[in-house]
Amino acid sequence: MAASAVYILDMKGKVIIARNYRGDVPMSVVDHFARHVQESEEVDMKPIVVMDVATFLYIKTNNLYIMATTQRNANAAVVLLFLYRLVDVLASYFKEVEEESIRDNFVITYELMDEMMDFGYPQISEAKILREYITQEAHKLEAQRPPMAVTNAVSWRSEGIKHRKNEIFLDVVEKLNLLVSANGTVLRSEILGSLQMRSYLSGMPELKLGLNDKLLMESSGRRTGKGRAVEMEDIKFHQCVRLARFENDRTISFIPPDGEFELMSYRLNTQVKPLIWIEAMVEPHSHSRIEYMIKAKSQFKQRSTANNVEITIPVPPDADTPTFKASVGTAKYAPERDAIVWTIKQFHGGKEYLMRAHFGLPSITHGEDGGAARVEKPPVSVKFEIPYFTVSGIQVRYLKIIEKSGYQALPWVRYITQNGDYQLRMS
Amino acid sequence: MSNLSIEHKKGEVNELKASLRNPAVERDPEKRREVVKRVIAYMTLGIDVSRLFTEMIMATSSKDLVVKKMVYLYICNYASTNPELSLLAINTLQKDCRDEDPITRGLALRSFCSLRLPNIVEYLQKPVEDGLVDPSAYVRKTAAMGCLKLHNLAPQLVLESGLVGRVRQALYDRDTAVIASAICALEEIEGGTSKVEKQLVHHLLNRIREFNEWAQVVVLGLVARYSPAVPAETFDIMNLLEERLKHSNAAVVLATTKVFLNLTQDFPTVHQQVYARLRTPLATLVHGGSVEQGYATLKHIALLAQRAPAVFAEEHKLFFARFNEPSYVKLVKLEILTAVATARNVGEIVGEVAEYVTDVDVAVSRAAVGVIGVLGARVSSAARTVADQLVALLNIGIPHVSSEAVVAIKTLLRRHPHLLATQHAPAGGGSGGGSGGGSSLAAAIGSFTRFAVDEPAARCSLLWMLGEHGEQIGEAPYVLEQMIGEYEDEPSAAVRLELLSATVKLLLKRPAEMQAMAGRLLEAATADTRSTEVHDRAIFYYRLLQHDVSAAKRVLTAPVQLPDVFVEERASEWQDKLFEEFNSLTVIYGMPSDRFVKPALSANAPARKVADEMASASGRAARAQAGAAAQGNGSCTGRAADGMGHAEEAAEEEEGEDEDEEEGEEESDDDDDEGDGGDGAQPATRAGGGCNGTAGASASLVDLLGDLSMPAAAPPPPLPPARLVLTPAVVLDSATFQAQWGATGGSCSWSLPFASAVEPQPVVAALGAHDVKCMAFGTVGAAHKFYFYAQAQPLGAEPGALFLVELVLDMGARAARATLKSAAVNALPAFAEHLKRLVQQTIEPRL
Repeated sequence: MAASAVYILDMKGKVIIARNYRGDVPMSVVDHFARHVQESEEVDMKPIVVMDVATFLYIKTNNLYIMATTQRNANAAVVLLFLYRLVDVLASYFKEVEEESIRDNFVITYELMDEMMDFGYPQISEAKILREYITQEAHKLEAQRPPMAVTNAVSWRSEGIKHRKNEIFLDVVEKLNLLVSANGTVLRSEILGSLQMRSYLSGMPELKLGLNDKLLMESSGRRTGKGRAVEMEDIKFHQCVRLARFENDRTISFIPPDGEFELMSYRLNTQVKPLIWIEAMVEPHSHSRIEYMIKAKSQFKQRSTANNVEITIPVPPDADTPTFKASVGTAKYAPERDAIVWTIKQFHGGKEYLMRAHFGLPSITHGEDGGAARVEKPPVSVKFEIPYFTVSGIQVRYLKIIEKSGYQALPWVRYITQNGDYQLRMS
Repeated sequence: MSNLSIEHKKGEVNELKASLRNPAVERDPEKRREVVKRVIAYMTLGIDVSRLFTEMIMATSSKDLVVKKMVYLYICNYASTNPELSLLAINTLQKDCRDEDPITRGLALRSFCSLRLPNIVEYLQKPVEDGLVDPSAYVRKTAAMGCLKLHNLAPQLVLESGLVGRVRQALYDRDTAVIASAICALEEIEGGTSKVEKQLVHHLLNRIREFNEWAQVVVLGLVARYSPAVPAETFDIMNLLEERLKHSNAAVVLATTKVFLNLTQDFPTVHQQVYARLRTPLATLVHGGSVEQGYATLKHIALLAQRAPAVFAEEHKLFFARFNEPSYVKLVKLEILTAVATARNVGEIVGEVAEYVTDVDVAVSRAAVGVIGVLGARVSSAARTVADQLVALLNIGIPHVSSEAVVAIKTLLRRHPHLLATQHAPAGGGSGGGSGGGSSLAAAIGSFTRFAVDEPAARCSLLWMLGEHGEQIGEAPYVLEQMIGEYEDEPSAAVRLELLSATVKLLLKRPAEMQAMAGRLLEAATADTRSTEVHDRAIFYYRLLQHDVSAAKRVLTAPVQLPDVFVEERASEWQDKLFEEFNSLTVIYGMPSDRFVKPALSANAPARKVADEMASASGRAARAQAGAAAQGNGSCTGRAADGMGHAEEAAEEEEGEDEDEEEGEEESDDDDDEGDGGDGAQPATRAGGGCNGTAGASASLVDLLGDLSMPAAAPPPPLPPARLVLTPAVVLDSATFQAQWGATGGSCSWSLPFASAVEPQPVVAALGAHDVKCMAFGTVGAAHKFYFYAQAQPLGAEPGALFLVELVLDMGARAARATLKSAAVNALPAFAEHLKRLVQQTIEPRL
């Protein structure tokens, strides 16, 4: 692995702050990167490039580049992930990670960069732990507590945490990725699920989480009378979860870190019925006008409702004078995206809505003068949010909290299904 | 920050200096912190505040930890510009290393080791040693890393001081962070070459859950180098690590992947099962995390997919690109889709890839067309569909797509020439032949003029098809006629060469239609002053035709035997190497680390470094002495013309090697070469051997060169060569070798064709058995390169003549080339012959 130096740069590639860890790559190589940033188009930039004597690995966030250089055959995954962790940690310190906040907090940023990586090897990347001995209030002149958890067996949680009210929040969030071909066949559909927790519990609580996991239900011999069982395909856990326990009896048991974290994520490759189905009929009359008829259909149970549905339908860039007629919601022309955006605040299950649009087209098109005609066909994309519903059917059966002081804690569970990368190609 | 304000700030540096010296500030910790903070702020802005060094060092005595951190940061930043003044900081640093607060001790030790000054090395050893046995784990882990930093500064000191042994003890520390730091340090110090002990691996694996995520990656990296003694142990380790594949950190998953792949290398069936087991976690990484992460993972999948295409074949839909993905992701996905295509899924894949042809990004669009062609060539059952698809693309009206489609059709036809025959439209194919039926390949090619294909690569491909399959393409002569008419306006030499080949080939197939225009072309081409190569090729064709048309026919239109695997389809010879370096930048770049890691820094490959240096040194030598070498050939082998060609080739290749960063481009060049080189150059040499009598002009060419280089090798001593006996007792180090190679003037070379692939090791062994010692060898591109040396048995008191050899076994051209050098010029030819025999015996044992 071993990064040589880490930089935070603005969009023009100018250094805001940098830390040289190994001194084997001259800090001035960053000029190559700046030139590279300015010369290449955004889309084309690979996140890993080799220039001159060094390899540059970088990520982008909020108009910043977070970049690492190395001269060795580094582990790309480690370096890229580390950069993301650095952003996470900075974000937990000063909310928005942007040029201004970094300039305002450069002392802390230096301290964090120093503590998180030594000689190019990542060290500690848990914001919670770092917070214990690098604080904004460290600027009070008092003796520092030694970093207990840095070298603790439970490296993600310190002893002696106290909350007045012991609560834990669990959000089950599922995102549906969908790709439908122009002729209406589903090319790919996958569910990316995530269990996000916010833990405000005192002491060292032991948590046990029960899901309607298919393998578990079968192994415990329980026939799923009501509700179905879900077979999760690929599960990833936060490091606090005892993986061996899960392997043995599919119990998810753990001591949670304090505050926000992602407990687990999973992926399901099963074919699901597309929750919102779009049919687009386009009638182009070249040189004069183009007409759209869009049919949107909700294919989930009637008792559920999709909120803030936003359907984006691409139109030719030279279209003009739009007129719309929508049976529900509002349709707008978004010229900067060359698209119609049809928004429906509340889309109940089992309904079907219609929207018609009409555009004028110029009588002379650029494409026929011998120039490159615009031929790419962007897909229709849909955004939505369905609360109290998981598309996979996953359910939390219990969440037990055991702490030796014996306090009563309240678990709160929410479900939500959102669109992921939801695209339907147009013919 | 504008320039103006930077100027302004510079004035303030003096102010800061005054403040730091102000006793009032020194007494008030709050004020001092503010001043120090401003210094660091200026440093961050890139303003040079190194003038404050003395004042800042005084501030180290502060009890304020934040001030300490800032001052240490400052010192580390400016130490290299103030090496002498830095010594002033040592006292405080030493003191802080003994502070009662572990955080301070750790901070001081970390900063102390990061100063990177040679003159402080002597002060470092003690704090590092103390740190390794510190009661606080925080300090111990910093000390382990400090040992590595010290090693970077003064390797000798670390090795002699026994520090390495102490770090090794830290591998069994009770704290996992210390263990991880120790592993990092040892792996880097020893270059990852030390043997991994069973005891250690078990110790680490049993505790793996206690390590933090980064430390797990470090541990897994070490375990990946371990080879278990018995199969049972392998499976135990895999069972233990299986759960790591569920870790949310992608780096841990990839590191585990590497362990699995390495462990099962010797169990083919299990190895395949491992691929299947890894499929799901890797698939999640592709779309689960960030785009960058997905890209890195896809690159790894691309490598795995080459090894085990079947495993990913069922998951091909996973690699369908999304509209809004960055181009670099789409391109890797195309690469993977090509690899995983099988007869079963190829239909779907072709259909999907066709969607990308209209991508906004030209690079993706081009790649998509190329992939369609390759899929058709690779999966026979799809060839027909692909042909139709490509013909449709010709008509799409986007210039670069049409161009790529022409190239793709060529790719397809090379593998499946029958497509043309079965699809041939009813005879005639008159002027409107192609316009209606877009389904006929022949008609489509014949109606080429309708598409404005002006990219050289596309034109070359088109010409190759016209020449190779002209008898089946009705309109071929008309297309050629038009292009011949535009000959003078054709800027690309490659296209003109291809035009020559195509015209001559078609002339032999359809003489009646072609004769007049072929004459015009040869006339124009022999008068071509823009490119010597075109000119020479035209003369060659002219003479060949003049000499004997039937011989020309035999040579130029001989039926081609389709090889099982084309060069571009063969797995990269780097594949194994890439596999060894799994989970590193190697996989991302698709080339071994020694190609992009600066040799001076790849501490773990000193041998390779020597080889690299020698390659470049000899490259220079070869260029400088190309003329002399060519002359040497003449006297040595008596085949001047042939030798010339090889010498030139060798020189060219050296150049290629020096600037071989652009692998992709090179490959596409190769592709073109095959178009013309394969059909033109190769028969040319064959024919050249056949028609001795006619080579009047080239004979005079040889004379000319002979005259020129005469003075270079002025006194060819007429002494009879002494009988050559080599001594087994010859030792030479690489520095001497290089010096000698550069200094020695007398050289000669020969070349030798061979048929089957050769491994480098047997060659080294075989020659070694005959007292020709190997200095270094390596594989560069498709060639093995060796450096040998040998010494003749001493005659009396005089030491025997020393011979230096550079041998290149070119797998692409299937030719062995040797360049020999020796100060003893008269002994050289004998040794050259001796070596040639040896090499021949080795690479062609049957002869």
